[in-house]
Amino acid sequence: MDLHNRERNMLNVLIIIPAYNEGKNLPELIGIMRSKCSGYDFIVINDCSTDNTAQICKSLACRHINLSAKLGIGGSVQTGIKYAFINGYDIVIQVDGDGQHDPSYINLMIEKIRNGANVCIGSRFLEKEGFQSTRIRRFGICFFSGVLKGLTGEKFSDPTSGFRAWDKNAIEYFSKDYPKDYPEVETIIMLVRRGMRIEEVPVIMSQREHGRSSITFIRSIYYIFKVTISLLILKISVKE
Amino acid sequence: MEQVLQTILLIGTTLFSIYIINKVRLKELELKYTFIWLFTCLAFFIMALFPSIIDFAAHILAVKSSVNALFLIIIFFMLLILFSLTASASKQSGIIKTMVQESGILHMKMREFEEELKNKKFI
Repeated sequence: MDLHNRERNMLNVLIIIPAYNEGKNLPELIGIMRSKCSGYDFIVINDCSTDNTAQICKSLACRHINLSAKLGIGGSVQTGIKYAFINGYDIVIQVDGDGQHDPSYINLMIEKIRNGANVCIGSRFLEKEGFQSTRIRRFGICFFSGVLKGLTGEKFSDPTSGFRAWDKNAIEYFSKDYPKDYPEVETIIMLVRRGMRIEEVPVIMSQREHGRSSITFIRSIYYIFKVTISLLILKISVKE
Repeated sequence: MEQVLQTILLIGTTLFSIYIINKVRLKELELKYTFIWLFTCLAFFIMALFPSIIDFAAHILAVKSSVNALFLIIIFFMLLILFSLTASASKQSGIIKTMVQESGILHMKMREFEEELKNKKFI
């Protein structure tokens, strides 16, 4: 075993896959996970799905947590982070259950964390390849990049990306406090305020194959409104 | 204030207070959540007993009729109660989230433990 692989295996990595009604997307994603990320543990967080997500997880014999009430993306991801914190994982990686995130980039993200970053975000806009999201979402992303630049002074090309890796410090922090809905942008400002280092890596995302995104047009408007207010409140709130 | 309204307020607040206290006694309501209702009842009871308070409030608020001032005060108390409910709902939502998360993790551990026992033929 070469040095790179030995070091890679020494790190305790958990990949969390939040899933709500992703029964059709999960088999392929789990298959890719098993072939490309065999050295790492992964866990599916089934957010009280109404389809056969729980049965799919069982039949695929993959570790999964069934939530008894729908908590939304924030609550699901935090469940995985809590699990990682309790079990002493060094790195947590979030990969969405809709199959938009390519697990091939996971090693690159781990590399960034190993080199000192507290958080690594997979950005689809650094090299502008692959699925670039819908027009309204692109507008939202652009808007939040600007707001974050104004509030933190740092540039984030894809602040709404859910493809992320967290180190032990971020795991501990988020196991206690994680936004409930639309957490991606809020978590950035939370991390910056705690002086954590956030880095981005270019990734290619694909369009979801089955099912619908939970973010509709009306929800996009609410998303922008809610997150902007949250960011402003976070900016003026007292540092811990 | 009209005497009819005064009498309705006095009887209404007294009966409602008795109803709330009885609910607390039967453990159907938690005492700390009834404080704001009891406080509202007490405030209206006092206002009905001393209508000059409402006349004074109408004067301060530049409202022509005392009855309108009374309605304004009622709306104020309703908003106060609504806000306390919002605060309570937010707190409960945080607690429920933690419980759902922890029960999910526990269920998974239990399921895995049971499977392990089955594999070892203990069950």
